[in-house]
Amino acid sequence: MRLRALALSLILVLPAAASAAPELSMPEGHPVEGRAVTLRLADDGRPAPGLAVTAVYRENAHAAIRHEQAVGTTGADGSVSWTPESAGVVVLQWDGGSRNVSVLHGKTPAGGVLIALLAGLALLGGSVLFFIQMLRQPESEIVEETEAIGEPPST
Amino acid sequence: MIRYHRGPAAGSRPRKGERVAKRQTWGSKLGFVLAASGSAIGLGNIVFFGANAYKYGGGAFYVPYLVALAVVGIPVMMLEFGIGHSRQKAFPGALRDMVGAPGEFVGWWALINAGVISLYYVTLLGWVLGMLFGAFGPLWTDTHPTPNYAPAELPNPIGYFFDTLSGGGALVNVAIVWLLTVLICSKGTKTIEASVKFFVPAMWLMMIVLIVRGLTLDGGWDGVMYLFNPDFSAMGEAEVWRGAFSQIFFSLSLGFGLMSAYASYLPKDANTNNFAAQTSLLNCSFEYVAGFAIFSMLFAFSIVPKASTLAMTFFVLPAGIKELPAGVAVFGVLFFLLLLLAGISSAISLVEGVCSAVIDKWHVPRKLVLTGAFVVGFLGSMMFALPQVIDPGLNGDGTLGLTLLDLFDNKAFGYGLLVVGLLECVLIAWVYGIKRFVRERRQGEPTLFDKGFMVLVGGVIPITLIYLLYEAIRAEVRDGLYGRELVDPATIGGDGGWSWLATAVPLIWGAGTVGLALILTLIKGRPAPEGVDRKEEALA
Repeated sequence: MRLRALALSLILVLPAAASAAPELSMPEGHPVEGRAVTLRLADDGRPAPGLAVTAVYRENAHAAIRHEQAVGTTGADGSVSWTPESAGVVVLQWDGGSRNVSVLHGKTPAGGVLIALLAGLALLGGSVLFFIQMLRQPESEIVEETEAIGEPPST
Repeated sequence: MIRYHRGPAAGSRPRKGERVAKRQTWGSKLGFVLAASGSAIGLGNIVFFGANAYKYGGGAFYVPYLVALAVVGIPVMMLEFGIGHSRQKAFPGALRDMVGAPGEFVGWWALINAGVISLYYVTLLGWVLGMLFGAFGPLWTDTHPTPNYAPAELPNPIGYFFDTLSGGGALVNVAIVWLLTVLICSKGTKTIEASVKFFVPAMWLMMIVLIVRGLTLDGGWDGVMYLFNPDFSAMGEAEVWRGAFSQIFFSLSLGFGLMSAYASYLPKDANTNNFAAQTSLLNCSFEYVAGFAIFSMLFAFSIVPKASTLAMTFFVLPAGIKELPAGVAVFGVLFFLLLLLAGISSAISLVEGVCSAVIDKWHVPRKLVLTGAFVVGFLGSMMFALPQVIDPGLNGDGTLGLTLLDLFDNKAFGYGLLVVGLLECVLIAWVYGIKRFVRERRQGEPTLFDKGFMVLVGGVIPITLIYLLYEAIRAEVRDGLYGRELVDPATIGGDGGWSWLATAVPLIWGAGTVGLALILTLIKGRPAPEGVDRKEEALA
């Protein structure tokens, strides 16, 4: 259990609250890694051109893992094309706002499945094996007797 | 049928003048395993592991994690089980029998640390109880009035949490949790076993329900893959390995000496090595499956994980539950009930560890010890539940109680456990003799497995723990004392009336825990009254 200051988490939990106009819109449903999607930024319903958009992958992760992608600058119609580099919860940032987007995997990641299976096999499998072994052994019969050892206290 | 005789275990050497009476035992092996795994599985297992894995490379984190489990986790668990079981005594008494007064001092220091942790742990559980009440309705409204904070209304679940924190109701919740905890410990293994036989299966069942709900959300499976898909970019970083070893140590509740108390109630011929491995694996399995529930939900609602138990427990996951298309209250109640059960099953081991040591040394009736534990515990927990707002802008921790909790946690949990883990390895391996310890346990020549255990406990684990401690101290020297910003007027505003806390807390913790451990070691114990069954005495 490690406790840390909470201020940052207030921002992280409520990205929408931290966002200000202009607002981002995108097609319905989750975007998919490797497939282009059009992002639109609008300010009070009017297109917001000239805004640079950045995608942050693995926010809050170790510096070697967290990375950013410069998506581009919105055109005259407030839109910019974005091709997500990898799946996960991505923080899209622009001047004056941000929004979290979940990007789906293009295909089931073999590495993820393999590790989930191996870790599950080692941990859950190990637990089950020990349980079977424990249940196979008969329950101890505890004999109600006291073994007298040690010397009585000197008085 | 194996027939176990209650009494001193192999290797036990009663001191001159000591009478050894019968000791209560677990009613079944299953009862012991559930109690030990219930002790290990706590709030941190449910939310912290997944967030830590996310931070350090998802599936790639499993490599150092499993290495840490094999190299440190299971061996130290075996050691703590072995210490308590071999002497049929709680941690301080068992260590005294093995290495004399220095051992007893380490044992008491470990339990005092456990006591300090139980004070704020129960406070945390009091807040969980408050959130559980809120989960029936008020937690899920869009905003909640927060008259003590700025702005006067905050979005939920943050608003509800801080309003609960800054109200007197938190103290009532803390009292309820303390009462439940001591009631469960009231008849020792009998009541503990009865409660964990309900708590632990219920926790697994609730977790399965949350997993099914998470996986059936749109994008739920992608969330799980998001957790497990490996990114090996950070594998060469020492911080990742440090994170894994710390995670295992904290997750398995090693260095408290609590497992020794639980193992001391095992029949003398029990195979504690198997139990240690089983308990460790069950604990880690729970962390593993919790990742499915949490990451499916976080992904489905596009919430960025954060490696903080408190933030994940009270803000991030409730924010996810709030977004569920249906059954928000049901799943909210389920989530906080799961946390409460997991927390109480850990809290009872914290209380039992201390109580059994006191009963072992002074043969005080259990009822009296538990009454004392309730009074001292509740008063101590009140300190961490203090509702006085010292940071109305929430730039730090908000209330005085939460700030104290944060500061004490860093010392008792971040340093105390590692130091105790290091000292117990050194005392057993280098003072008592690791070969002697293994021979007594094995009743014969060491096997290859035992030789591996000896190398780990005698060398690898102490070196690893020294490194972890060195890095923790180095970070404080480099970045300044932990928690300065929580009481710094530049961060939280005000006139700096609380800035002394960051320096005072480590001093109070260090001097207080060491001093008390010394006093408890020096006070002479009382022999068991003649003809009194320990079990009867304990239940008196």
